[in-house]
Amino acid sequence: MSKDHFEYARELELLMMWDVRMHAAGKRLGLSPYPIDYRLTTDDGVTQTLPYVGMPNDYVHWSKGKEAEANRRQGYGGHIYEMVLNTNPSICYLSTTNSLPMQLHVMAHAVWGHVDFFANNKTFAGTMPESIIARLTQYRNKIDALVNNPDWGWVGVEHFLDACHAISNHVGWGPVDPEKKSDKELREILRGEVAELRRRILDEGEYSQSKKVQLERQVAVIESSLRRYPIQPAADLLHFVMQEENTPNLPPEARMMMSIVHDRSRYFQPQGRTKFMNEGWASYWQRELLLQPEVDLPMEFRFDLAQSWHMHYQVAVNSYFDPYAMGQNIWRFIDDKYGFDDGMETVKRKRIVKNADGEYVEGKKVEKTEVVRRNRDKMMEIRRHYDDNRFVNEFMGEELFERINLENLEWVRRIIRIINKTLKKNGWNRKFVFENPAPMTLEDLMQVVQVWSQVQETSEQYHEELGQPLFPVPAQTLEHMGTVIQIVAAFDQNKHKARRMIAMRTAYHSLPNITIQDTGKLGDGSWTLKHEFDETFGPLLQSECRDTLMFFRRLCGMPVRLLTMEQRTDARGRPTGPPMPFEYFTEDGEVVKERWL
Amino acid sequence: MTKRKTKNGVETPIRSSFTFVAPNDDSLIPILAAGSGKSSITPPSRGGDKTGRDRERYKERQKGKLKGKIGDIIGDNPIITRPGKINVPVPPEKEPIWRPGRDQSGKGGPGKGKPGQDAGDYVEMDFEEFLEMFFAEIGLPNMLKKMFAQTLVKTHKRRGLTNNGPKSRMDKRATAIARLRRASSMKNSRPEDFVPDFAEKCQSVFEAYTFWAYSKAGAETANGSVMFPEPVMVLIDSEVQDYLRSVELADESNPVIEADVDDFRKDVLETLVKYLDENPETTVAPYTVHAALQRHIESYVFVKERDGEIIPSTLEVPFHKTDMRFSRIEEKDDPDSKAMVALVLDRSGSMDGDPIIIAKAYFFICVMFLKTKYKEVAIVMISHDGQEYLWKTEEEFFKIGASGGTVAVPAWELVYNIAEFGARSKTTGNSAGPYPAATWNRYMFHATDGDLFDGEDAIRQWFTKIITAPFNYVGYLECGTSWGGRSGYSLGGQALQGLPAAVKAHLGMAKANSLKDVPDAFKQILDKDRQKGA
Repeated sequence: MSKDHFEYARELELLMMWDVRMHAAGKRLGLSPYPIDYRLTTDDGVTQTLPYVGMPNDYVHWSKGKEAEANRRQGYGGHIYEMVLNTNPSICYLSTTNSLPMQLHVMAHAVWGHVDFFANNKTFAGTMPESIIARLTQYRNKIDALVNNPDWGWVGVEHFLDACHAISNHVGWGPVDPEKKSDKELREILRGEVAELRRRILDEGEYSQSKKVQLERQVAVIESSLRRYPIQPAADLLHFVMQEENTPNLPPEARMMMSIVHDRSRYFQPQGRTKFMNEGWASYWQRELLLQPEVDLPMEFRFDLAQSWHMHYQVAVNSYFDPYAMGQNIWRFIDDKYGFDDGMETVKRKRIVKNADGEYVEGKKVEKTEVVRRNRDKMMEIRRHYDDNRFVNEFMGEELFERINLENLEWVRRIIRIINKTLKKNGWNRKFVFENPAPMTLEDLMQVVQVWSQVQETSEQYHEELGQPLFPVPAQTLEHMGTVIQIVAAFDQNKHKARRMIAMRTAYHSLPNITIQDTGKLGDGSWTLKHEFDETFGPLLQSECRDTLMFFRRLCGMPVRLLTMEQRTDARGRPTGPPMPFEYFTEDGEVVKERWL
Repeated sequence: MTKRKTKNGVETPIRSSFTFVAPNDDSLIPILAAGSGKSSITPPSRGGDKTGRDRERYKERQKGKLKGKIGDIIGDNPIITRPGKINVPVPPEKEPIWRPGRDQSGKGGPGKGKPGQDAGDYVEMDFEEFLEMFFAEIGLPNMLKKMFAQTLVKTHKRRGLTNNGPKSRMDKRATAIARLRRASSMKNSRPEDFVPDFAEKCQSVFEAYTFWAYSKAGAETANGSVMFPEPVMVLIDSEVQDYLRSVELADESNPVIEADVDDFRKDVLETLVKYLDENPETTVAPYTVHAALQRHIESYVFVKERDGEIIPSTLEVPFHKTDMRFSRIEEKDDPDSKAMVALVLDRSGSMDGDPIIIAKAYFFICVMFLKTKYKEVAIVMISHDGQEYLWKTEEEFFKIGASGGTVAVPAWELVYNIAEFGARSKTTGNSAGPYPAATWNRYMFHATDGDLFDGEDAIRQWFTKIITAPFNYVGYLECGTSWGGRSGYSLGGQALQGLPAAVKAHLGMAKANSLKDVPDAFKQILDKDRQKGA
């Protein structure tokens, strides 16, 4: 035990007291997180773990050094409210500079939201949180050993590691299908089909020319796919390149590094794929849990926390885009729709009392109290089986939007009322006050906002030049009001398009879908990658696309091309026409040739 | 998660408790928490930087990018007057991935990252690192590198002894003497603790002798190694042979000859071992056990006694850490002397670009050389086009002026006046000097593209005047004007070639078309520097 243990002893003890109380409430509500390893950490300490996404013992790499160095130089990383890891036991960082109510808020959010989600959502099933720290330590040691090996050194290690990082996002989705047929089996089946078709051409082709042509086309399609290897495109690029049969010339150490990066990427991937669910879940419980009778949160703390609870709603636009706010909206929507009150139950608890030092501590007397039992079976089911994609697609529908739109429009009207009142009080020109009749339609509201935006702009100018009074509301608020009205209008115009626009912002959708189509094993030996073009996000960033392709060339060791779509432009760089097929090709990994297909 | 049953059969969850875990000890967590279903909490740890190794590696990579950038570094930093940390902008490290987006302008190109935008886009360089790079880049010959290395750092010499220091610097002889001195004073103050009579002295010499002989021979006894003093002194290992020999040679009438030494020692040891095996209850043999050795030992003790030297055995007075003596290293300062350097730079338009960087490198290496030679170096920076300009800062000094006719006489006049009387620049209003020859070593370096339109006579006259003023040395460099393919000197250089030998003895002339030529230009100072009072 160090000096620190004594210095912080009282704080640690109090935190653990609250942890026990939250435990009682959480268990009754059906939450089951991993055991928690709280780590009280200085702000500096938390900042230092940022490049490693909080993971202790991550392997050494310059990219993390770059981030850490930038943090140091910019003095970034002041205060981090919460950081919690998907490990078992789960590591939860608590900042030493948080006040006690804030610590409770963070504990409720992180433990009873995030950790419960990690432990119960099926997307996280393959992440093996028990062993991740041991695995990372092992990886770190392996890479260290390779760096110390004179045959490799930093240059040799980074030659492959940098390349692995470049494609580390492309590690496939979800668990591997155990019944997936191997390439060999598929090939057998297709060959059988070809033989069957040829037989039919002989049999039936004699009687009908059109039938013969049709069958011959089928044969041609199957044969062209038989000429490819693999037959089924591979989405897990790292895993595919890692296999010895696909890249026979790679040294085993390079394979090891690939497997390290692969494992790390697969471990982190579920967190990106459940961002809205996870943050929404945590935002939902941070409030529900602390208000349970077992916790018995003192009134003083409730005032302190009200602002934190409302943090993500302060800007109305957030309820469309912010994972915390939008996620929570969806969860509350589910709770309202499927949840119901299911009788009463008795809860035993010790009340919180203030002791002589002014600290809130547990009282001695046990008392009983009645609470409503809320049935949340549907929520629990969704927490277990969904990921962002399904979650958003299923519940972010018309009903939810109507709700949010109404709330937000109400917010806009309220702000308008407040502004009107302030303008009158401060004696502004009456033509800027929109009261009787109050604006009701979207067009009217938009007009009001536009007029005020202009007034705001000019008032700022006059304020600087002549010292005249400023418009009582900053430009940002007016801008937010405008955005809300626009979104509502867009929704009124075309529900599906508006919904799609917002849904596309979730669940890794912006990650380009790139697959290995062919390795040229049965052809000229050059690899072919294909990018599934998505017009919502547009073509790939050219400069990085080239560099990444060169890195891929380094791993596969063969000439490689990437098929994608690119926008034609005129002499001034303005886009013309629809996107056209485009190819990036590198023969030697040093020059990338580009051409239209 | 385990649950515990109470007496009533009602399940209550196991309560979290307050568990101590050592900071940063990840190995304990699974034991403390995983099995029990309890939460644990750890107080903050202080200090330490987990990101250290990653950042080191990142900086190392960034430094690798500096190759071939020395010209920019020299051009952008005030290295002559204010050598210190140098910040060099480098393109940011790229971490490309496939992602949607558009390059900034049109189709984009490789290396789009703009320096100055991304964090960590500059490298901080120590002056020492810069020097190393600079020397490597200009290809300074090894001999000169050595000279800089020797004079740049202060010289270190072994001088005298100290009581503590690293083991590699231990002086064994002095240490042994110190122990003898201490033993002698101990014996004077407390004689009762020491061996009183002749026989016991002989015994202690015998024990020391057999101990060393034994350990040298590596022999073993039947009942283990018990009879010898504790092996304390590995330290004087090199002197053991001397000790053994001096015992063996002590009986002058019958010394053991070199060829028989091994046999003699073997014989002693066999006798000794035999005695110990016969007397298992004793651990030490008497010195009389071997007749021949007995005579040697008695003679040895007798001689030492007669010379007044005390023979403490290592057992009586073992080495103590206060006996340790180490060589002392002394730092030597450079001689206490002063020098004034006038740097004269042609700031005409034709000097822009490479020539000015070559000039800066030339000035830099010359000034640095003088700084190793003199304790105090005053730098006077004068640039000229049609007139002279005396500058206070390096940034102003290296700025290119308007193009036009280039004459250097006003600048030389100013140098002369500053050195002799102290003077003030007519254009900038700055003033400097005087630096009288009695107390100052005076130098002038002139860098130009050589197109000086002063006329041969004026050029020769002024150089003669300056060199005989006297200045220790005057350097003249024509830099970077290989246009027109001229191989010889241009106007200025041609004029100087016609100077009399007595003047040329202290004039260095060179042409430099690239940084690689700078050392040659510099080297002349080594031959032609006028030594004062030598």
